[in-house]
Amino acid sequence: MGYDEFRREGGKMKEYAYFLGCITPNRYPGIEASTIKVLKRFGIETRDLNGASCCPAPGVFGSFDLNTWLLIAARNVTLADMIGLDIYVTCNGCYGSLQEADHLLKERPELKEWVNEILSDEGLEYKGRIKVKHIIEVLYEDIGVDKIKDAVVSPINAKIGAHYGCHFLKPSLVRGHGSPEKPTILDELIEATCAESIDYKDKLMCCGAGGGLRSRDLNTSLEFTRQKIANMKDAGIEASVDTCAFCHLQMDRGQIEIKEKFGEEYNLPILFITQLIGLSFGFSTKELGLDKHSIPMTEKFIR
Amino acid sequence: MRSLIIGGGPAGLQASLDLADAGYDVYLVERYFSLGGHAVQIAKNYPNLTDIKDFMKPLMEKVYNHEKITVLTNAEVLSVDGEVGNFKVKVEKRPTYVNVEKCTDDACKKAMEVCPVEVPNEFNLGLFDKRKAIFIPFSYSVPYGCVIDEKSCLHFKDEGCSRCNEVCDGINFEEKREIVQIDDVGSIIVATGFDPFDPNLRPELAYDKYKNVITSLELERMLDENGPTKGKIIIDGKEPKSIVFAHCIGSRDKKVDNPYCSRICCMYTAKEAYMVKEKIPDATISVSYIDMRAFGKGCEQFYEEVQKKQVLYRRGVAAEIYGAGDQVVLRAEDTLLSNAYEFNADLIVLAVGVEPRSDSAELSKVLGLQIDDCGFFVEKSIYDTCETEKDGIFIAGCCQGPKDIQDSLMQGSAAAVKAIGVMKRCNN
Amino acid sequence: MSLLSEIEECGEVIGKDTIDSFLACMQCGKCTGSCPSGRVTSYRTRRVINRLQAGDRSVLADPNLWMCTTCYTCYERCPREVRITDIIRAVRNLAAKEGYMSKSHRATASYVIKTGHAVPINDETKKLRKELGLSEVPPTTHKFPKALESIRKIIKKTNFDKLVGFDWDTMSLEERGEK
Repeated sequence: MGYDEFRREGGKMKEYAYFLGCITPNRYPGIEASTIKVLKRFGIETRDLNGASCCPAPGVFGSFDLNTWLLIAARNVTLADMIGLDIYVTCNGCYGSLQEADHLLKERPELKEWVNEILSDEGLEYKGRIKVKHIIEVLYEDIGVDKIKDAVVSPINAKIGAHYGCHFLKPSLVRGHGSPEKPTILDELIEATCAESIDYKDKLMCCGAGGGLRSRDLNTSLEFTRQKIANMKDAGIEASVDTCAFCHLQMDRGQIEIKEKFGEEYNLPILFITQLIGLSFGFSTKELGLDKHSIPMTEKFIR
Repeated sequence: MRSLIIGGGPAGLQASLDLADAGYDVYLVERYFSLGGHAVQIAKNYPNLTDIKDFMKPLMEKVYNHEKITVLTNAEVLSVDGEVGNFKVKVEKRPTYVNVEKCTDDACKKAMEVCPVEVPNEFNLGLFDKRKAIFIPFSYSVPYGCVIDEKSCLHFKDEGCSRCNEVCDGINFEEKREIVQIDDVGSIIVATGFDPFDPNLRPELAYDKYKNVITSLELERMLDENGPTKGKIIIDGKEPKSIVFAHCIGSRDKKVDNPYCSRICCMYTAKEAYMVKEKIPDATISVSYIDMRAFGKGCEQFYEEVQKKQVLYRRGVAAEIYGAGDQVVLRAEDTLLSNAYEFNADLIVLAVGVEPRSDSAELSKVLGLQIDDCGFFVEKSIYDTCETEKDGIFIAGCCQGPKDIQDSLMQGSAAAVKAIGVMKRCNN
Repeated sequence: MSLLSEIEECGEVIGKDTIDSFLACMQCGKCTGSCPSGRVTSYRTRRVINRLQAGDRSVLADPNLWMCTTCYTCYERCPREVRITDIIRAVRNLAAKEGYMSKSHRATASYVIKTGHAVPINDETKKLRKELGLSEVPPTTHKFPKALESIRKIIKKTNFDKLVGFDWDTMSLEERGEK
């Protein structure tokens, strides 16, 4: 469905500021390209968020110094606030930092005051006028599963293992998307492309990258990943689809590291949700950056 | 002057009996087709393993046959007006379409045979067997005899079906809903009981995902010699050999808005573990618990007996459950050893807690009573757990707070004494 | 100063109520039993909370404290609503303050000081970005030096540079023994 058709159906054109974070632009730009392309199909425009930085990672910088974490995260939110655009992100870590910072600033006026005092040096002021959204929310709420289904021209015929990651849904008290124990939102989006979302052991388990574990203790971190990928393989899953650039890195590049360290080879293709949707919309593997993944795509994901 | 009792479980039955024996007229209103409450779904009581039926059946019959007691089953209180000494109560009595006076074993059997409808049997929690649209609520229901459930009966869907009517002359499809007006009610005792916790509110325990994750009440139905499995513990056609009981499911849990201890689960689990071990002597049984609360008379000693049966008590609550082939795996921490462990089981029994009736808020409005944050009726003071803020209305049993059968009976008696007190006062 | 008030101070931005929630822990073990890390490491979530309740400072030096991936499973399931993951973050703040910060973590932090990104761009990605029709350098601190200056100002203000031991003269980490 093109933009005109979307307008005819009463859809309002929406423009977002894309908060890129680190892993998306600096390691997996395919996620960035796919996301912009998919949103454009529905008339959703993406604007650069000039001068943004690391979110900074909630479980890493939040573990070192919460003050620094909040200030940098608040600065990133404020950049979008200044141009009056809602933010979308393609990484659960970025979502964790920005959404939580925004939540804290909206809940606690004394924090807002403190943050603004420091941000004023750069001429910034947090007003709390915008929303921080995960790309999953944009796909599910702004566009909707039905419209995505209608736009599929090249159906995906594969068994997919959904990987939700942690910080999109948790802590639910802050995120506000309901119980994180039995989510369906990603499964629905996967199935919109005609793929089948397959249940597997420890589906909601962490990929192992977060909280600074990847940089501090790679072996332990990879053991999480190994378990998840082995569980998916056991369930006959042909590819995993994720919602987070950091999980994506951990599960894609992680498989190379798992091979090096544990001598186990899984070769499970890893796709970001907009890469899967992009394929079903007829974009090529190359256009979506899928050909540059550490784990090569199998035939079903080559267009 | 008469007294109204709402709820026909242990507390309501005992209160009715005590009031009637003291010479007062009693109206007992019960929502279900039979008296008994949840107690009659349970096989044996703790700590002495006596058959519940041996106690409940005579109690129910005594109440039902008492000349001073009018029992209205399949009925609900619609409104309460007036004040202490002179409440005016409106009760809806729904039709059962069967005159139980005409019930005979033969006629009932035939009527149930010809009924084409099959629905899950709610008395057995819908898990084990089906019942017909015309059915006997359970083996010792009081009143005893058939009832027709109009929600599933085809007669009320297309009026085409009258098969039971053809083989039994006790059926009367013309029976109508009645409004019973009860005046001159001096006192009211509310004894509406509890709902078991719905473990689906803890999705990580995968109750709805695996057949071999069941609730303690479901296990009770299997432990009942008169139950759907004739007292056999059978899961998916097999006798389980490794069983875990998981304490505190829906109790001591703020996440599900139940911050309180349900008081009965530690001991009913001990009893169930004991009974399972008797039935399956070679079974490996463990209990995952947070703290053991065996405070009732004889309960600590019974707990010790259960341990001696080689039931392993492992400190640490059930964390999550997943499936592995035919088995289910419990993940938990043994908090005394600081060990995270996994236990492969053929059966996991969730010791579900006690919750207020889901519609207790509505009833509280009808009665003008307060309910607490959890939904239990509020007593006037912790030193008087029967009286409420409303003069002449008393509470007893689990609707006031979780308690076992023994304590419910006692509170029923206590409420009866209080009711007699206010009625004497109003008469003078 | 008690351990509790020190942790409260470190976790000021996430709130005193959040930190204090651990006082209500009943030691049920739901957290450890739900913890994916506890299955592969000797990190025992409940033990950390237990030691905090007891005011046991040795918890700060325990490397297991860093085995949590902040997946929030324990936090979501805790029947006493202890905000475990947030508490772990605040306790780690205190541990870092006392010098218990691994070299690898200091390195990650230094990348943000140097580039504004914990994972900075490389040549290979620049090339790929171009192929995908994206700007060669993303419109972040990588492209806007002034923005990077703002990040550095914030870092100096909070003494984050001192916390990680960053030497502005050499633009690299100071030598520091690992505790």
